[in-house]
Amino acid sequence: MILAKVCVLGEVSVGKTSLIRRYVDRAFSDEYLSTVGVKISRKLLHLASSPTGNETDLQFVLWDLEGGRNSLDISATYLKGARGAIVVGDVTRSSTMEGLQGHIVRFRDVNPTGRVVIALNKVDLLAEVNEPPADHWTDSPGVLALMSTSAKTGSGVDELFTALGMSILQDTGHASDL
Amino acid sequence: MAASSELQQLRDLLLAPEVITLQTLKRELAAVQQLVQDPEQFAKLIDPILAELIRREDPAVSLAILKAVTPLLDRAVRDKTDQDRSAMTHALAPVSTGAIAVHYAETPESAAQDMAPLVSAAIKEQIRRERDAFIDALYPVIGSTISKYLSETMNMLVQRMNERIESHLSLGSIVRKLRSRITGVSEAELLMRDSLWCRVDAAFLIHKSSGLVIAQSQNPGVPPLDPDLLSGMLTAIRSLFNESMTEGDRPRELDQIAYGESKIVLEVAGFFYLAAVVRGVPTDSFRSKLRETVSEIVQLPGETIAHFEGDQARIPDRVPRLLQELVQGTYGSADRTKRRTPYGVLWAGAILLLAIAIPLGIYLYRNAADRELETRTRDAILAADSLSFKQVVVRVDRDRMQLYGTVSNDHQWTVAARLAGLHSPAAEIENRLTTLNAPLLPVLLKGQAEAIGATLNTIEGVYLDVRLHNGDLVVSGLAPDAVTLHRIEQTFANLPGVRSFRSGITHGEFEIADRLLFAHNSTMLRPGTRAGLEQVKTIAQRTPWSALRIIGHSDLTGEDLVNQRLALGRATGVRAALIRAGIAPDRIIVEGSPGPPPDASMPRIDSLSRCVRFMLIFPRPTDQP
Repeated sequence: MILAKVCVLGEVSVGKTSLIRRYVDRAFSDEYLSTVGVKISRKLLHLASSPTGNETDLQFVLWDLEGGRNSLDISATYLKGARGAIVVGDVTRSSTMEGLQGHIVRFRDVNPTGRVVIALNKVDLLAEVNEPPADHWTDSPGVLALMSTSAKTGSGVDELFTALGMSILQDTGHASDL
Repeated sequence: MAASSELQQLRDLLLAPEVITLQTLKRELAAVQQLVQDPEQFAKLIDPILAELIRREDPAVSLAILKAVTPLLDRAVRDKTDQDRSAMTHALAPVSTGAIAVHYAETPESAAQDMAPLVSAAIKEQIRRERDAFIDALYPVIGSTISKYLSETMNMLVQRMNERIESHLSLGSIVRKLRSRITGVSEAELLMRDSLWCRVDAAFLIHKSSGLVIAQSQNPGVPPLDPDLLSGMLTAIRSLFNESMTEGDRPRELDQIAYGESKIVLEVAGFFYLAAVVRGVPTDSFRSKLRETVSEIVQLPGETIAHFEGDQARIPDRVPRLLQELVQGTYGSADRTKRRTPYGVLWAGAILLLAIAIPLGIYLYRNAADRELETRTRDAILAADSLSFKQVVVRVDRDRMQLYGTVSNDHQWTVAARLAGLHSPAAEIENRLTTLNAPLLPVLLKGQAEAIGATLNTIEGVYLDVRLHNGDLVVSGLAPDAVTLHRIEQTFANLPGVRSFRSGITHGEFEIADRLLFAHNSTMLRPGTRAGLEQVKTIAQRTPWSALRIIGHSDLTGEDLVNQRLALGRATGVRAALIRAGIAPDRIIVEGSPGPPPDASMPRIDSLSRCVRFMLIFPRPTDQP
């Protein structure tokens, strides 16, 4: 089994915790370690990783980092050692979308080889889902994918985590191809 | 004008060749100057000369060249360095480390002084760059260094305590005080800890930066903990703490988190930390095991721990085994005691020994001192008068002196006490000497009393039997009258050396102590009564002036008449025997008294009642008118 620390970043109330809750499916305590500003949860992912059909287990250790007023103040030590990050934005609030780049840069500063997926959350609130301007984001180094998600409906959530997991396994040398 | 022209002509005429020579010289000088000012030209000129000079190896020339070149060398190097740093670095690189080594070998102190600032700066820089690697490199050394320092400190403490132990004599409190001082924990807490233990519920080896679990071991007997959540939380807490609690530029380490009855004890290395979930109070033995475990993991070869990427399968098998050993260990107070037993036993033994040895030593010392004083005092008393004080015994008990034994008189009694006082002024003297005012030994007293008795026995009407019984003088017998009787008693009572005197002297008649016993219903003398009869005969012979009344008795059994006859018959039989032994018949009076003799104090026993008794009588009844 491979362990992978993944940080979940984003402005306040973009739905980070809800996203994790949706993904982990209530397999964690709801208590937030608010004084420390972090909540840890985990999720085991089975990935068929090679042409031989071997399954590899990937244990996500998800660090839900409190999105404060100035969330770029998040301690670098919290980010340290993470293999990946999920940067979350609220599609209904443009300010949170503008902050995404700051989070990505901050994460990559601490973990230059870390992988990033971007979650454009709360798509259920939109009347119609427009395709996100993918090219704009995927230009950033380390950004694997950008997905529209809804913690409420569950849309895009599993795909988001699976994409990140596959990438991490590939790095580790357990996945021969994607 | 003409004159001046002529003079000029004359001058030209005279000096023309010199002028030409001078001009030629000027030209040549300018050429040489130009030659010298152009380094290339000049070098071409002097090269062969220099080569020749150097070839000659003339010491004087070499020195001159050296003197000329030396001041320029540093400038040359500096200039060259400015021009092409890289080339210079490459030129010097092969020799620089060798040069440092030689410098150190030749002048170690100077080299050390030169290098010292560089070393500390280098370490600081290296720590700044790779702090974790540096911690791991130093971890095994620092741990054992601290242990060594601590053990030396403890030895010193123990030594100091050894010196002071005699002044503190309470076993339990000393041991606790000692431990309290060594550990810096209050005595009350030590008391409490003695009865405590700790158990390791789980151990997690956690990657420092990512907070991922590298390896773990959990006690199967307790509810399992979620390693990923716990390690993540711990790492977050640790990070926050270390960041908020820096002291100067050095971060401080969080080493323990307590919750409920459990504690999470953290031991931090460079790239990882070991978190042990402990139930109870973490004991010293546990902490020591924890450090040992970390130390061993740090020294494992390979970098899979330092650069842990989440794959636990790549971690050496040794790591989970070490954690398992940590979890399975027992760290109770018994363990503590076991390790400290030698100290405890030694202390207890030493204190016990002192508790016995000190009083014993004091006692023996005092005893010896007392005996010595006794001997000294007695010698002094004997030196004054060895004969008179022969029986004086001196006893000393601490500061009290007692004199025992006997002296002849009051004077000697006083002198003995005074002599003792002179030789032991500090002692309180108790004079228990007894005084014999007459110098009489018992045997001497007996002889004297018997001699007096013998003398008095020569008087008519006086028969005395003198005995010394347990130092008591007992005199019994017959006196002719009351006045004489009193005088006789006074004589014996006032005899010097007599402690007590008892008188059994009577006047008128005196019963001889010997009686003759008879068989039931018989008047025949038995063979066993011969000695008694002999005694009576002797007394009768010694008192020719007396009459001898023989009184026969019977028991109360049988008829009175028979008893009357038996009593009289027994007395008559004895009379006949005495007459046969030579006693004059006219001195003998015979009586039969049926029934036992009139002895108020004697038990009335039939065998004793059947007897004959004898009374000496003076004056004789027959002599009376």
